[in-house]
Amino acid sequence: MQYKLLKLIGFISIIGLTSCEKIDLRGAFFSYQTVNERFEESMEWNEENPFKEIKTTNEAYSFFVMADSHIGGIENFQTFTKNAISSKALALVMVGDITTGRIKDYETLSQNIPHEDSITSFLMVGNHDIYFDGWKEFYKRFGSSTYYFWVKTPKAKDLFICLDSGSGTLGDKQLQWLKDLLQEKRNLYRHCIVFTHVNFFRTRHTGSTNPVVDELQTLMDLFYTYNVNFVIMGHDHIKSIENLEKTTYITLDAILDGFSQASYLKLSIDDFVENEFVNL
Amino acid sequence: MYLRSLNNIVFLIFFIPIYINAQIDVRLQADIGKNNLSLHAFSNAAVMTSFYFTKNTFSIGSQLTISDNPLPAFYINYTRNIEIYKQKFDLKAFYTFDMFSEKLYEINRGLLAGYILPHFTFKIGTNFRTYRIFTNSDSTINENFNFMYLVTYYINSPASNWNVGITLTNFDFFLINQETNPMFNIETFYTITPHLKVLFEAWYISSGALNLSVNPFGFYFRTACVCNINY
Repeated sequence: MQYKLLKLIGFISIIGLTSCEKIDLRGAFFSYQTVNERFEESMEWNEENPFKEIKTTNEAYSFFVMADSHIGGIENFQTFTKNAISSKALALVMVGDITTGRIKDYETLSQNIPHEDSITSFLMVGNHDIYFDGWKEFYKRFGSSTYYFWVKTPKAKDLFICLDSGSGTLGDKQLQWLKDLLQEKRNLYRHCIVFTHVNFFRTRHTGSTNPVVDELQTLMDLFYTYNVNFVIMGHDHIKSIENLEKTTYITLDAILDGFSQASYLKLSIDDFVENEFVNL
Repeated sequence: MYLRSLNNIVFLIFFIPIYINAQIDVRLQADIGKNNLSLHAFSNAAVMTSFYFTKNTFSIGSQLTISDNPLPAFYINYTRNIEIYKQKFDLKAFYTFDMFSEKLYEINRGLLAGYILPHFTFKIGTNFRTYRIFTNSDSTINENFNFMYLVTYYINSPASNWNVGITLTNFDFFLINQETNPMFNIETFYTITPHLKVLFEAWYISSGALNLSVNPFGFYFRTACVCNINY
């Protein structure tokens, strides 16, 4: 009887651990890479590819920001990029879970991402992007997931930081990098906006998780101390906005096809930063 | 300032049990560990006092981070033991305050119900979390109805003077994680005398497991002693 029970448990485990279409159950127990390993690769890539400066002659500019496209489906993603280009946005930012992690979905993304000449795109991984060993595909095609860039207008410079929270934690090395960056450079810029996939606050009950409370406390203190204006996140699929005085935490809707609440965020940046959700 | 106030409160509270014939437990503990928040180890020290009077328990505890800038946390709670059809339950109302930075703090309040069996302890409850700034600001961030849980298995019965327990939970004395971030611990204790018990615990925390992208977050080791005083 005990042997039959063990066989049943083993069978269920094999079925469970075998990858199904959208989720990679192995990730609940073993990761393909740790966040520190991905961070070190990102830093290697950054050394060979300097951080970007985007110059604009306009005092005001806009970014189009989205999360959770889970390509696969490509229709909403194409609408997002088309709208950004036609609106003459300065750049696109994709805050994780851009794909399902599978090679064919990364191929679809590569075929549909606008050319650099049309608009600059900034990508970072979410948890889904690293399923099925997807980090290798992301890194091969897009490089680093931990970096910063800035926008230079005639009268100001604004700092934008992209973080890898695909594993639900920044890891000690990435966190130290972020602390050093804010300490050394924050005061050189007018606005500072951080993009990271996994959302911080549980405004509703959901099976997906957030960074542990200790890490949230450290990050909240860091962002408050260094006047980070916005922290823009995805992961939860349902938008929410929280304010802690100087810092506004925005969680985006998912943009995936078939989602009734799909939207993206338009950031209009001048002396102030305004945000507007655009429904699809 | 916080330490002085807390010391005054603890000093006063110790005199109350003399008049009501209460039992007192004093627990001293120290943690040392490593997590993703720093390239170095961290350590905490805590003192906790519980007063038992018939079926009531009143507890207060305080913790300090051991660092160049020590930051305090404290809790206060009330527990009522009840028996239903000879089964032992307890109901706890708690309040915690965690000053996690010089500018920001977190408070939690909630309810926790426990069911105690010889080899198992089960606890479920809920908490309401608020993040706030010390300055006069109305901006707060709230998380409501977070689910709290604890399951412990002990290899020996309570009558034994030593035991080993394995726990899955999302909370500790001064920390309540989200319901989707469980922690694991192994605890051992040994009762040296009826009035003195020593404990050792090993905790492990991972992140991202329920996102199916698990990554180690940290671990810590705890040593503690519990001294029981009967008036």
